Amino acid sequence: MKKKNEGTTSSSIFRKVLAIAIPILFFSASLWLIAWIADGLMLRNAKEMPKSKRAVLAIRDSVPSYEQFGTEIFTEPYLSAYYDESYYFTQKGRNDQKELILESLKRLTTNYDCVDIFILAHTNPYLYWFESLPQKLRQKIRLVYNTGCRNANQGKRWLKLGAQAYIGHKGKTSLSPFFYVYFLRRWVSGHRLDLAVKESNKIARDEINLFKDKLPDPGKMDYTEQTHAHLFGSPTLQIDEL
Amino acid sequence: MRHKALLHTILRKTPWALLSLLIQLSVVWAAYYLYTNDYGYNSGRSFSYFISFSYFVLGAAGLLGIGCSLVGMSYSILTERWYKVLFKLLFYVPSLFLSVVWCYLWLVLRAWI
Repeated sequence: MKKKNEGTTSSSIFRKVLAIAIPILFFSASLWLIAWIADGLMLRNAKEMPKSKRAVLAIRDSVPSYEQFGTEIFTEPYLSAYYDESYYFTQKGRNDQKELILESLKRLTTNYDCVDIFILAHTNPYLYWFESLPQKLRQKIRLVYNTGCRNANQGKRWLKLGAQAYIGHKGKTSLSPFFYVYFLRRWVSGHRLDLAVKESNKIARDEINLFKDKLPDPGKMDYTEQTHAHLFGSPTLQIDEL
Repeated sequence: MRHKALLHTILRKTPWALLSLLIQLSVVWAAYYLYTNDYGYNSGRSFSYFISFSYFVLGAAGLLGIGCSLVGMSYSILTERWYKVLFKLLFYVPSLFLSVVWCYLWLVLRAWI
């Protein structure tokens, strides 16, 4: 009888330990798995080695907060992971933080061998802001990607300003984010610039074709052509290349 | 002593596994509700309604789901036969995982709003 009681007691302690340990184990595993899916998986290709002294500056213009939020949660982790230093600005008005943005670009071009710029904004005049930067520093601007509608027309001026390559969209109603999400992933993964642009253009075109009939005036607008990204300057750039 | 007895009664009589499952289904229902009522991005309807509704559903489902799954799992291990425990884990583990997902999304919305 005593033996039976001892057995029951030890079994009861065993159950108590498991009743605490198993839920904690599954809860921790769930947390770990979600953190891995949300962050680790997306950035699994980020290299731990030094990133050859490169920096990046990104600007999001003044649009509704949910759009700004979406842009930031997609973009910022990639930039932080693949560049030595990244500055991400979200504006609250047309000229919001202008001085700070200029000062930041000046600082980055002073401290790093090359600086990429991502302009995540509607038709914009940032090109003219950066003209005030000394020429020696402007030469360190490497790639400029601009989502702005009709901002492909800034290509030659950006190259003249000092950028090695510029990507922009010609259309008046460019659905640039369709291109951008694919382009950013390919660029940071080390694709050659022209190949990254070509592939991203193709995927963006296919996706837009899927639902273009639901967009306003699909017959006349030709959204795929309007969204097509145009590359100016050096087509062979790669993120690791200086 | 009466409180302890009451607690045991509540723990014994609450269908934790079923509750965990229903909580996950409530999120599916909420998503379906938003879809059929055409709330959401670019719908022309109130985006703030979409966000506040999602915030409430995700928060409630996440926190309640985690609570129910953990309590149910513990209580089942303590009191039930092993085959029953293993069977119920088939409900508790996916529910716990989904509840953590809802909580994660809820925290994302919370940080944003």
